[in-house]
Amino acid sequence: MIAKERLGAMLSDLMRRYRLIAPVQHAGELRFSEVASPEEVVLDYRNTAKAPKATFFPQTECMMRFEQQLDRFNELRGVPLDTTPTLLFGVRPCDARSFLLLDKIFLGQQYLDPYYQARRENTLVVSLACDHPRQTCFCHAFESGPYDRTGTDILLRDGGDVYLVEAVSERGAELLAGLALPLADGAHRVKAAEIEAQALARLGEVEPVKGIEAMLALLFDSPIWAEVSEKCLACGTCTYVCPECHCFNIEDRLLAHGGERVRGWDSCMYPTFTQHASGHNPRPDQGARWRQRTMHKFEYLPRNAALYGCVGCGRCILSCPVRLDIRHVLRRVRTAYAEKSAAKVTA
Amino acid sequence: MSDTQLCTCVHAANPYLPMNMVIQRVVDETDDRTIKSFDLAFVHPEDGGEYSSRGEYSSPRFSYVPGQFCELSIFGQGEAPFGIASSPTEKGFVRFTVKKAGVVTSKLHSLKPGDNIGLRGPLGNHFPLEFMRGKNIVVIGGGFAFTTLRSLIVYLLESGERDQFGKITVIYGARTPGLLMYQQDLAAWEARDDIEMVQTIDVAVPGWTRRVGFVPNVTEQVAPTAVNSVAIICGPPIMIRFTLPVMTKLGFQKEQIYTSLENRMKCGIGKCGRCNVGNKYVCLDGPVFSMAELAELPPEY
Repeated sequence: MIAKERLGAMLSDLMRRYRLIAPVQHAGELRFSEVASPEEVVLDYRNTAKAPKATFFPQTECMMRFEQQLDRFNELRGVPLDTTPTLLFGVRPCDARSFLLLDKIFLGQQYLDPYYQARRENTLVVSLACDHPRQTCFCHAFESGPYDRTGTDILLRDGGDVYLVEAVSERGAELLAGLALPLADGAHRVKAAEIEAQALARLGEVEPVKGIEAMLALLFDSPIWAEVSEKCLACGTCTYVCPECHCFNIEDRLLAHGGERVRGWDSCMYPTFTQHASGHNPRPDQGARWRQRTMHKFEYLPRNAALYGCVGCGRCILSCPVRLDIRHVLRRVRTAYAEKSAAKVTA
Repeated sequence: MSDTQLCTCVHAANPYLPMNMVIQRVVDETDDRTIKSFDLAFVHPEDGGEYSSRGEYSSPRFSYVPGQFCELSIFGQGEAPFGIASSPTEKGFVRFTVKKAGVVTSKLHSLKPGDNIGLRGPLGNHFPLEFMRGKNIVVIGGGFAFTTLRSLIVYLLESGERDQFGKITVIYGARTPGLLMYQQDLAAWEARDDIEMVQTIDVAVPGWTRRVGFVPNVTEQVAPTAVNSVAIICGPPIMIRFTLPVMTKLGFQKEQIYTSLENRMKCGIGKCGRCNVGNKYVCLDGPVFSMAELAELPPEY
């Protein structure tokens, strides 16, 4: 364990070896950012406005550069990959769990994403158990919870005036061994258990997500998609704050004497996301796009990667300007499935 | 569904980094000049070699199978996916036939031999050659969608394995004679006796002595046998929609009919989340799908 008042000193020490990324206040918003000094770190918080996925998958990044010679473009050059040893500190368990899916997308399958890989391999994750879930939190719908250890290297738990520090992975254990922290005593363990119980008690009722993929498989033609998406503005905010959303665009930018190819976050909520140059659009309306968002996260990803594309962090619910609630969408999926099943029986 | 060793020949360590190509030849394929073929050569000969996504080199050089596609880069404008129109039996160049439609293709159409563009590939799966062996092949194409079908036909005729396939029937239709692509190839194939060529146009014009009629109707007239046959159909959605019932009437099962899908793409390697049909990515699990596979997917294309 480590006394909370000594955390700053420990972080200072670690910052000699690692770039520290932690929650900081920035222009009125709490976000994960590189820290210049440990005083900036905020740990007394619910959750950040945006997920920490930008640590491995930045909102924009240059993938390569090309040079212009006379009036022709030549030679693409790769850019140096980011291999700075990094400590991603203070993420919530829902966010730590989100990295599992991103790893499958960017590192698994047939091709390896070198930009993601460089950052991911050189980052140690230290998560902070969530002692105050919000009304919009539904991590427990995924057989998870505010003290889940999935996806992290080290878990910190609030023990009153200390944090209990627990190694979860081998890399976490290595780092911990080097810190020579005192073992947690009985009193603090009891306190930590109390705090955990209080956190769990705050979680509201929610239906488990498991099994929803089978329901969705039958609802492609359902009228519910037009219904649930009616108030959606297609602003895309949900996809930007989401820890699991990973769709991206690739664009070329012309600069003096050449240019660069840039990857940036994109959103399936935008009308032109799937529009062909011919003008044909397989998803021509917001209902079709909401169907894709829901199916991708709750049917296609479970089938392809055995993981949902949602961790229940609730950021989309909080950030949506029209308060479109994905929990309500899932509820509507269940009732539509029940209606369809009943119709089959009576028909 | 890949049966041959798929070449994952993209850049050794970085599957987003194109190889530098030089344009050798540009040819108008249609009389309205909206469709051009570009023959490309590798600027760095060693790029023609094959690297797996994990960086291991292996031969043969830049090896692809008919049905695959590449992402072509116009530096400064962007990238777009194009089916490979050449056959791997054609050495020294890789051909792409491109219709002028948007930003990337418009810029590409303005380029000349000697200009550089980038190439990533080969990507995607391919026509099911193993499944096709020992069977009659029916190739049905409409308009601009004939590009990878050319790759397939040249391969079937030139790979030295012609005797491993049965009768080859090609039905190719376009609106007008001037919109039929690959005129030299079509003429050469017509002259051969190991392939039956059926060309058709929508409406009769003076000087046209071959068939007249939409591809679905002509297919019904030609009535290729479904017994021990595989059909590969590529064309505009409306052509496919009306050709499929004809194939069913002729006795073709869904497992015997293949097509190639298209979708807006960016990464081409299954990461950017854009080109999926249901839980399948057109760039990774496709673009070639059987009708049986498509029947399992939502009709979102």
